[in-house]
Amino acid sequence: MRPLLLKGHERPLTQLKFNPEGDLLFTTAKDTRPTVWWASTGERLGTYDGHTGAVWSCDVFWDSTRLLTGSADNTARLWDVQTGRELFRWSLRSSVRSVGVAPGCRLMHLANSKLLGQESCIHLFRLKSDGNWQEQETEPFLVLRGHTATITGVVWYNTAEYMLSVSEDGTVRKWDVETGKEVDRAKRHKKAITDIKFSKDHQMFLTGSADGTAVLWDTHAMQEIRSFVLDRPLNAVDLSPLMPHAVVGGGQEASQVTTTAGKAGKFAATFLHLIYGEEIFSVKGHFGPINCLSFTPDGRGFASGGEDGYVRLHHFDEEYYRRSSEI
Amino acid sequence: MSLRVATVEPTTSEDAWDETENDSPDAVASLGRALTTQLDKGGGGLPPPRVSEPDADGIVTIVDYYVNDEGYVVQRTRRVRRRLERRRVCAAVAERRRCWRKFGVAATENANTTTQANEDIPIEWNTRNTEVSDDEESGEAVPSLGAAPSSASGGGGGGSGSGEDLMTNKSIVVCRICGRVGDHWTLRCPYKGLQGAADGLGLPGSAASTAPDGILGATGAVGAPSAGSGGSMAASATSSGATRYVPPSMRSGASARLREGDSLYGRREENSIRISNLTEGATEDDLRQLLEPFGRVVRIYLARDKYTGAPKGFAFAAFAERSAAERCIAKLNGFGYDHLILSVEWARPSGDRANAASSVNPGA
Repeated sequence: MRPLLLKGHERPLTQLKFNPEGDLLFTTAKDTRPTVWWASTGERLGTYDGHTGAVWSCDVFWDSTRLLTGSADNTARLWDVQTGRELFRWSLRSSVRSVGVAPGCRLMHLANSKLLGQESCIHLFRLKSDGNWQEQETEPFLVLRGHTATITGVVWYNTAEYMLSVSEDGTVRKWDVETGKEVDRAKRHKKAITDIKFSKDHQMFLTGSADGTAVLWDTHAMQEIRSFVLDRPLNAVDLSPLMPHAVVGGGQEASQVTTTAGKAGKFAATFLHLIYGEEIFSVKGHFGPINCLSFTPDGRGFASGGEDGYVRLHHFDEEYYRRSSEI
Repeated sequence: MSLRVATVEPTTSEDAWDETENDSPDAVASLGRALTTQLDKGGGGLPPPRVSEPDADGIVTIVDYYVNDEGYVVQRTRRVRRRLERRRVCAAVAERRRCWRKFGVAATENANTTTQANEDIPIEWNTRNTEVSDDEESGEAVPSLGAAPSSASGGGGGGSGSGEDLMTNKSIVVCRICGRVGDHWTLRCPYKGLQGAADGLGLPGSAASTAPDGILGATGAVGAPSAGSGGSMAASATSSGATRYVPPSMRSGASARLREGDSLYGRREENSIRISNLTEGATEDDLRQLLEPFGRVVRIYLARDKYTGAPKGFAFAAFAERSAAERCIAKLNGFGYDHLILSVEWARPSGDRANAASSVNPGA
């Protein structure tokens, strides 16, 4: 593979998101500029200028017209994807760590960090998607409290009935969106959970943790199906929509990185086979820990964003399909 | 007037989605080498960009000018090959691709923010599978990369993993490589890489159950004669009954062999072969598969076009042993591969080739 290297960010990447068709790639980093790229050529399409702090998270609407970003400047902003114009701004009392739009685009969530004496909780807002986008409700209609440390990831179930959140306290919690109650909770990781991703059909999800384990869960039973033990803290996970594969990535924490770690292969994106429970292959390239990973929506490639400020966009060679079928 | 030349790395060719678009030079991702020449500082208006007609290879040369961060006018020469690639996409995607214009920082940038990796990033397939199963059986707590299968019911942990159950029942687990039933998954087959060799050496397929000891014993035997100079690693490996694969670098006498490795570069020249009349679709991987049954392949070089990266139809390969190369030439010269007939011969050093050419010319 000859990956495309997207060097638009000056600071470590925080999140990657493909739009549903897979032709646009949205990236956020600890600089103030969320960026959108053409996924086929890696060409930079535009930047969303306005944030004054690190941008932690983004989500794109199903029709790729609006983008939601959350930043350490304590705001979340709504953007027009095509022009880069800011449409609306929500303010919280600490940095916005995770944002997301529910399927259907009627609801959205913002999760804030446990900082400045604030509790880390999920704020649910109604979105007015019919008319004027610039008039949104500034107050949440529900606040989901319970996590004892910063929430690092929130995903919506595909019917928007409930949502799952993971946190640095090591728990996965399931929330009922109607009532705002925590309906289930599971703790399997010993350290902070750093990422959560649903499988394409939402029947399983994968979590990755700083303790070096990745766990595949049954969504409804909230029970572990399989666990993978790796030799490094994990920052990012994703599940392939095409193959029974998962990709995980991470590396030593930025403050502890030594010059030998790169050679030791700790910064590689590692692919796991969900059925055999084996590590199948790895792809190297980053000079620092991997912070975010995402398969393309068709599963024919993946993107990785690193602490080194690069996004590497891979399109799988024919070899991937051939050897995967031989396994 | 200061003159500075910088080389910009070649990047990908554009996947144009529509014939009508990408007429402006800045929308074109450049392919090939671009030279940036720094001209006089300041100055009036910028000269207009020049775009040449496509040459024989379809490469267009674009010369344009811009003012860089230091206030210099920079002349930029790019050689670009435009390739039209038609793809069927959904209407929304096509609409976006056709109508959306760059905005924000992207609208004004000059430098290439996107490049393509110069070298091929290989998928590094994991091959260490046999050890894992051994350790699981003996109950050692090994922080292996593989997963410990756990029961979904949550109550039962321990060793009652689903995979193990299947194996003891001897029902459905048949290795597609060596044909053993109930011993291991195909993924974990210890002969995974040896298939070609096994075919070539005529290992009895039916007596596969005895084969593993034979092969693994052989690796132990290789290590044993030179024992004595080896480190403690190697000693422990041989004493553990030679049931496990020991990588060459850890076998006894490895250090001596590594010292030989220095001269490997010089030696392999004479064991090199040249394979020509390859198909365009052949990859290094295919070649390795083709050659490995003859012996250990030290190096494979597949000649590629500088711009397109497409194989040129010939390759060089070097074997560790000359006898292997001899066998390979004898067998593969005239061998039908894909739809072409291979021509395999000893590779001549480049100096010889030049001499040969000059000696031919006067005669002609």
